[in-house]
Amino acid sequence: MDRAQKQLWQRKVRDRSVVILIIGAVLLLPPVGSIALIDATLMGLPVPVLYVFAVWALLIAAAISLARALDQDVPSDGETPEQPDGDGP
Amino acid sequence: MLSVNLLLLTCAGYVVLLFAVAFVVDRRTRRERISWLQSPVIYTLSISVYCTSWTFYGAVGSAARNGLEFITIYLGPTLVFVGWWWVLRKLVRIGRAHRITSIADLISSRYGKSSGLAVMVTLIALIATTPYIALQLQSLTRSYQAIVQDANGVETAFVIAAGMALFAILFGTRNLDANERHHGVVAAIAVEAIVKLVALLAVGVFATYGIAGGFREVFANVTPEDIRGGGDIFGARWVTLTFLSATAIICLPRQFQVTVVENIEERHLSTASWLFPLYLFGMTLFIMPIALVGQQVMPAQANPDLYVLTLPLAAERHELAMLAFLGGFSSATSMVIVAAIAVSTMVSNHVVMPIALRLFFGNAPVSGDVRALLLISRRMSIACILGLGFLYFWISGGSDALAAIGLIAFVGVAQFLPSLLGGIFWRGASRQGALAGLIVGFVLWAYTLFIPSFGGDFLLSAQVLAEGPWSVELLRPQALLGLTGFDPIVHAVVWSVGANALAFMTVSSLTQPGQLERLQGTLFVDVFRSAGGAPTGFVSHSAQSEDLFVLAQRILGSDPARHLFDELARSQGTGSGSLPHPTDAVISRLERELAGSIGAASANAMVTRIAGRQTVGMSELIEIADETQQLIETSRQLADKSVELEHTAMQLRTANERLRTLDAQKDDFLSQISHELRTPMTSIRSFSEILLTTPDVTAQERQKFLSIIQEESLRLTRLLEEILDISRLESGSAALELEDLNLQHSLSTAIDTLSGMVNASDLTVRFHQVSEHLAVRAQPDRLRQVFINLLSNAVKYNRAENPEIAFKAMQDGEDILIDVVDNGGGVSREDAAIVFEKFARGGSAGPEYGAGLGLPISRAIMRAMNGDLNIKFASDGTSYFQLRLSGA
Repeated sequence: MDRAQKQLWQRKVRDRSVVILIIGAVLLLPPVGSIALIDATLMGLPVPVLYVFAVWALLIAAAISLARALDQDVPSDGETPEQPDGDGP
Repeated sequence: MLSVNLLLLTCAGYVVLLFAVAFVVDRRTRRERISWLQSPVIYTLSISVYCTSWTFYGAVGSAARNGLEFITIYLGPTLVFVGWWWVLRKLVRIGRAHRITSIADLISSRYGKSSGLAVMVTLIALIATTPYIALQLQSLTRSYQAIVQDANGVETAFVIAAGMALFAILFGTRNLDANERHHGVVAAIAVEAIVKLVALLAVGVFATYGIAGGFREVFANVTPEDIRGGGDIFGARWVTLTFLSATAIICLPRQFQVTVVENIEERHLSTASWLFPLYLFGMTLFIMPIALVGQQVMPAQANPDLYVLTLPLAAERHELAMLAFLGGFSSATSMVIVAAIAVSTMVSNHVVMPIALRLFFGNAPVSGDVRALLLISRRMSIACILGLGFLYFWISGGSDALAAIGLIAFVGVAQFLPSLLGGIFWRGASRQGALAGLIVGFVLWAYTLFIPSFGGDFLLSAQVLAEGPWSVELLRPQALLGLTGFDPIVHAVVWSVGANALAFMTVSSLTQPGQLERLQGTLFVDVFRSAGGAPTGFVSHSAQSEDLFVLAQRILGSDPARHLFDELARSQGTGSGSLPHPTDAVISRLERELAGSIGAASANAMVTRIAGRQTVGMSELIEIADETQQLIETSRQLADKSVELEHTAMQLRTANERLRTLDAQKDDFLSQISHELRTPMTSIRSFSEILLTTPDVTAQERQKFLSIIQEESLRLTRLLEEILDISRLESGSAALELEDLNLQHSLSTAIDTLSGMVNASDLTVRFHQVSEHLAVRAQPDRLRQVFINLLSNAVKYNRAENPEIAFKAMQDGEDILIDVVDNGGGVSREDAAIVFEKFARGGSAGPEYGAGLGLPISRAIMRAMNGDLNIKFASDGTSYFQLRLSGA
């Protein structure tokens, strides 16, 4: 992988990681989160409890897939300096 | 009843095991790298020091009181780790590049290695950690009391605090690592992380399946109120707690220690990004079931914070109770040990050392053993931190809920967030801004949350808490400026963190950062642009190598100092026996190494004080920058010049080669011309000699000889004319007057001219698609000459039985193409390359066929008429001539 491709890749991974973070925060915080606040059960479990744990599990799955993708091109100690990534997203 | 002796014995055995693990790992890592120990899994397990007895005991209590709310404490860290690429990666990179030893070191280093900021951060960290340590003491004491009913709470807490201080001192300060890493401790807390996870899962499975009979049964009689708890889930408190826990995972001194300082490889973060959330997921999976089952089966007055322990005890499952106790013990000890190490490093580096430097080393630059002082100050700090925790526990008398105490600490360390994030993402953040934010945030936190947590027993009386100081209602600590209707935590966060961030941004935007601050700011914000370990400043130095060596010996120890200086000397090429020259690079490197032991601010202060190093002024910096700029400009011009030179040299080489080729061609041409001229000349000379020297030549013979002489003379003349012709055509001096011609007509004329020759050789001439209307621009005589040439070639060289030549004409855009195909097979590919060269004949042709100038002349004519003559190859390998002429 040459440097340009590598940079493009890193940018992509960074974007994805931020997007996952934002989706997670939106789902777990009000007002979107409070949608799950209903008095019902699903498979014998209260919906709010099920909802929070399900979103959590999905976040972990997303993080795993992101880490897998990164393992193909790991930024290690000898990494060439990355191009400026601006002042954060 | 669980036997006290067995409990104490098991605990003692467990502690010995931890000691052994830490001791063995410490010894082995000193000799070699242990790969499995430096794996991302161990790194992640060490981060799980986040789960203290607040999680182990307190989360269940929190779930029993406030329903699902307990989960927010784990959602925040999950979000931070899932989005690690954004903040954590940058923190870790900065930590490694600048050898950061603590969060105080990071903030002080970022804002120009300010010692004032370092002291401020250390102070807040110390005070905020106190309730957190008290929480661990309380939970351990209560869990001990749950088993040993008549134990004295204060005494137990004291013994526990003393034991933990001992452990932390033994393993946290045994040596001073250059990077402030503690492999032994990390290994021990990894073991504890597994123990607490297994214990909590075991109790959870027991409660869910052993007591209730499955998840479905646990949740069967649950009311929505049990889930909602106080009725505020997904409300303001929910958001606040998520924010606080996300902040804490970065800002808690112990989390900073394990995540940033103890990080061995940056890529370990990528594994931790999912493994740590997964660990938290596992820890919390059974919290809700344990709380619900506890509420159902335990008596109403039982403390829900201790359900994890009292549930197995009540069910007479002593081995499970023992495991639960060990789990709680692990949670508490790991937190206390790491927190004590982290905070003591800060206290000794940023508070004790600067004072000691001023007191002891003010006059004599280097005296006394700094190393010993450093170790003593760390040990004292650890003892003090645990002492403060014990005092807090004693004075506050323990809170009812563990989570409430932990949150006080969370809000305290959240005060670091604005300066921390601002420092790594905003170049304009200034030292004054950070200091203002921290002071404002700290004061408001203490006033609205920390002091009220004593419930009137400390500093502020219960009356002041309820009515405000001097009965001014607007100043009530938990309803500041009349902000009521909020939970105390939300109230405190809004005031302290909000005001902190505002003060930080406002003051930063109003003040001008200093030189070193701007330099450090750029290095931190743009950490991914530099290769790391960038110079920490331009310096003019009067340092002597001996002084620096003595200083390094005092702080790093004599062996590491000697290794370091040997390495530096070798890199300068002065040999390992002598000391290196005190260049900027050497001093910067030394300062970074020292910073690893005593923090950036102290290292900077020591090197400056003892080695007489001074930071250069702004004007000198500008001068250096100007010089550098000029150098860059000069070298750029040099590079341009050399590129230009190279280009010219290449052109010269090409021209030279062409000249050589032309020269060789000229020589060839001359030798061929001499050869061609010599043949007729020889026969002319020899026959005229015969005529001159032999008087009795018969008239018939004389006639024959004279005709040969004449023929040869004619051939000679023709040859010379052709040579002249070709040179005129090629030099372009004979401009041809072009006119529009009918192609068919030109061809017929040419054939008519050659009719005698054509008829003699049985050659058949055919025309394909040569329409009567095709017209070309050419010079008629010259074009005819070309046709004649080609026809006579066909006549001469065609060896076929029924010789045949065909003319094909076609339009190609503006041009007309004329293919001249004969059935003699044409020329071979090798011959095709040379037939257009002068004096060349096809390989099969004998000397009787002219001088070989026909084709070169024809091509020269065609080119002079803006056309061309080429040899083409058909798909069956035979060749034909192709003429190109511009159409009329």
